[in-house]
Amino acid sequence: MSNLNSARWEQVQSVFHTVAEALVGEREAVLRGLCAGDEALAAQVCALLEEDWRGESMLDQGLGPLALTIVTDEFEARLGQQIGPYRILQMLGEGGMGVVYLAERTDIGGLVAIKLLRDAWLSPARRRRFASEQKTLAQLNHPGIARLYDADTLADGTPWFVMEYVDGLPLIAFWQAQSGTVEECLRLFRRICEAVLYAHGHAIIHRDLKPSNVLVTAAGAVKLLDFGIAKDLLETEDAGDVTVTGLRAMTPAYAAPEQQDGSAVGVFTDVYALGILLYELLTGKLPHDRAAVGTRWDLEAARPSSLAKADRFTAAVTSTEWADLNVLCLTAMRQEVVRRYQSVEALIRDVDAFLAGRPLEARVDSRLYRVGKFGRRHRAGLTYATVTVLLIAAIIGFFTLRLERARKAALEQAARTQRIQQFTANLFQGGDVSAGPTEDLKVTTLLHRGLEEVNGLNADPAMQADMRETVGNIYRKLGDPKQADVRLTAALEQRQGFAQKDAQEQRKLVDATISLGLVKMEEAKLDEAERLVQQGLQMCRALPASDAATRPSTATAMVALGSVLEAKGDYAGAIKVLEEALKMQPAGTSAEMAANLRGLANVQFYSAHFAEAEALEKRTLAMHKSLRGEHHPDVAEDLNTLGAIQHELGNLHEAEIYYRSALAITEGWYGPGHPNTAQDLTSLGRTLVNEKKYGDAKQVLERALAIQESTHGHNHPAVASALNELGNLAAQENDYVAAGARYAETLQIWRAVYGDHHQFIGVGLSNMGSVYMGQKDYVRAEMMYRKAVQAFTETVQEQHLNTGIAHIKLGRALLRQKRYADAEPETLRGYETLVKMVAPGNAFLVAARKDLEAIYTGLNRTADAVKYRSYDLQKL
Amino acid sequence: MKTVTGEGIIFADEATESEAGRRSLDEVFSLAYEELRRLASSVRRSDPHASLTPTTIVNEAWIKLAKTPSVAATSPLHFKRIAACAMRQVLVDAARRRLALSRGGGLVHVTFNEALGAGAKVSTGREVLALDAAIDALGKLQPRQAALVEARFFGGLDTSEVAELLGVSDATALRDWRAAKSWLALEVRRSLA
Repeated sequence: MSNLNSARWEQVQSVFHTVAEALVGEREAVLRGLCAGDEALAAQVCALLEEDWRGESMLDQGLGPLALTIVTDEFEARLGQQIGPYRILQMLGEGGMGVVYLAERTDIGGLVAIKLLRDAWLSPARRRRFASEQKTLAQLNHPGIARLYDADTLADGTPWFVMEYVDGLPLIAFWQAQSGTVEECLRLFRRICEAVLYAHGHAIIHRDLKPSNVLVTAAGAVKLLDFGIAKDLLETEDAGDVTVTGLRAMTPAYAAPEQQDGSAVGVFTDVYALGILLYELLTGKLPHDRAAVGTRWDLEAARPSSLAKADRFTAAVTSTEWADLNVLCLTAMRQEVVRRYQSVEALIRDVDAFLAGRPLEARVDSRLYRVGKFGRRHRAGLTYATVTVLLIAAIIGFFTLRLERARKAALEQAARTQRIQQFTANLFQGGDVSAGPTEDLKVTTLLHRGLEEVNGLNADPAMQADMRETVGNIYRKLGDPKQADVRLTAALEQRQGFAQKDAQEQRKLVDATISLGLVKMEEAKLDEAERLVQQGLQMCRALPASDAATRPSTATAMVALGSVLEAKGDYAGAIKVLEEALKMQPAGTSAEMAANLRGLANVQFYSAHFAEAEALEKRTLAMHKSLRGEHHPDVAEDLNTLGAIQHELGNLHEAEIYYRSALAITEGWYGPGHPNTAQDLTSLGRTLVNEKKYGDAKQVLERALAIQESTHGHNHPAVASALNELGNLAAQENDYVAAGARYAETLQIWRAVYGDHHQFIGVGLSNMGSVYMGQKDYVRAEMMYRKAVQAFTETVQEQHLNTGIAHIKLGRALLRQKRYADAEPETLRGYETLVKMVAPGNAFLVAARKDLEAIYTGLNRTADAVKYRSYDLQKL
Repeated sequence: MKTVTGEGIIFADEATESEAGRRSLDEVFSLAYEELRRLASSVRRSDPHASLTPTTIVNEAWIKLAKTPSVAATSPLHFKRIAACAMRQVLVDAARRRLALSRGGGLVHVTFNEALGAGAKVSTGREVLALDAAIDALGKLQPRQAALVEARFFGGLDTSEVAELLGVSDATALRDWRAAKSWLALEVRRSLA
């Protein structure tokens, strides 16, 4: 259409539209009339009309056919080609970024998957993203994630990398072909979660979890694929990248709302996708019908139970189980991030809870959420009491669920739910909401109300037992083991009295027995504690072996037993049971695993195997941090143990840092008057004494002592610990009368709690000896030290740090009596024990060297004397 | 006991605005490319339910990019126009590359006729380039119409969106489209003949 200008084009169009809109029979006449002899115009309009009538223009076809242009044939052409040592066999699939082929290694054989970036020329963003996927895979080494083998670039600049080839089916297809029980389904799902959790542990978020990226082999092994849009949390990115990188995948059905609206993504983004996968596994359907919903993501999905067909699983799923599956699934895929499982670990915990028939934590969370919202709205009024209220809310929520699960008859359940709701509602009633929690919400008030409720439940003993346990556990968390003991004992007696015990009730009985055992341990009633925990463990072992839930709870019971044995000073027995339990724990990060490792760390610590203790405790700490975040009491407890290790090694500065970090968390969490806070204060005080910061030490230790005495009364190890450190402080300040009194008190408590056969008795005797040393009563000192050495050799054996220290102390008592020949073997033995396990600057080690020099001088063995002195000089 | 302190992950935003803007644009092109791949594979599968208009990219890209500083100041419509422009550009780049590759003779040419549904047409790189040139020519005659074609055909905007974008009535937008469509078809046919 040459010779066209804008004015002419307007004219052509005007005629075109008039003719096109005219009646069919009149068009020619209209055209002739408008063109008025302008044949060129008529021809131009005719040609346009012809195209219009044909209606087959490129533009009518839509963009689809043109889009084929972008599909060059180069990838088909690669079949049979050689790339490095790999020969391409067939195409496996295409993603937004690249093409994946099946290839074989021509040199050493074997099948691999090779991925090439398609159209690398297009944009730097694509090349960057491809490189980032490669880097991500290189970091991940997990059986559930396809491994990276090799990578390079073709001559034309196309980057490629080689991965493990997975011969499997996409998740949903696999499950549809396979089918099975709901438990098998959940176990399969758990394996996916584990792989995702592993990636999260490496700060990598997958962001594109969907069935086609989760292959399952015939053997049921899960492999995650396609980290093409995975995000490395440790890498800073610019805003554009953050918001956009996830876009292309956008398999919208699996993309979390925050991913869809460009908000910050996190581990919770994968949690969402996992939730959708579970939903699809359970129901065979996707939760949100995209066609119907359009671009709205704010709709909550229908409960899985309402969609799944009855024959979905090979064994029937009870309505109670469905209720849990609904919660599990819908919590994972909550639209608001804050209401979702905050980590895959939390999701796994609830999967495990489901598999074990335990109540789900998600139920607790939804309560926490509601209370948390209250907290956020009224931040100004938040006090320690509020934190406690949250804590109680969590516990009550947890036990509320326990109650729910136990019920079979719908009617009973309805009645009970109502009562429990009343109970919790009553707890939180009172107080002006806008002003935040008031006096009415003080812990004691709450508990008092709870107790009234319990007493009002006489009609239903099962529920009363549950509620007593609830209240008992609240007391335990509040650091009041005595009150906890009363409630838990009552609950346990009630449970033992039930005539009929189904599997649920059996498990509750086991839990109740072990809980009470642990409270007894906190109360320092160690024999009762051991008896109860042993009893719980036996009951646990007697549960039917077919019950899948038995195994983990047996391990948990064994860990409880391990901690009781450790408290009793039976380190060999504790290690045995804890290591046995460890073998039963499923691999990977879990609260149970962390508790198990912590138990072992404690035993190793008391056995003075500090390197082992430190390694175990650091693993525990890492687990707790990933499970609980940075500021959880569990983390604080780990920091405390690490501090204790550093203290024993003589690294006082490091110890103080650990202790102060622990204290900050514990105090922030439990408040200033809680026994756990006091425990950290005692630890810190101990280090401060050794650092000769006597003023600070005194303040800290006296505060600790006051808290512990008001919590536990006098005869309790926690009180003894504080007293012992106050004794150390007095001894350091040369106040031997005060020190002697403190040490004597300490020793008396330890004897009352542990009897005579415990290493702490050795510690007490040894400290008493030191008081006599200070008073220059070397004969009495020698006597005490000899008793101490004996106590240690009987309990923790010869190679223990404390035994070594006792030898050194005994050596000094003998040296002061100028009994060089008697002193020499004692000091030498102690020195040789310590030199293997503590830092060179350790005060006892330095003292031992000094003493050895004096002893050898006294024995006229000058060469040996010089050896210790010169060693000393070298080191200094 | 569950922790009561929730944690979230906060990303550091260290990029300058212009860098972010450049990256955003880069991303728009990547997205355009991926949308074209999606359309192409729908055509190859002859998926009867697949939408062959590129609305997905435009809508979703807007939702995602709207929060980036460089795009925040842009109106949704203007953004859609940018996305449409990117679609056209990527398609043209791909077509040029395809032609260059086939001239190089290194590749076996495969057509997708067999895979296509009845009535669907296969385009070649030459058609894309012809259309691109024709739209440019149309832009010289009536810039508004070229913009309309780009927004509607490449960006998937509907009539009322296009009308709003160009500041004309719906009726005018429809008439402009009808005339432009025929004119472009004619131009492409001539240039390929």
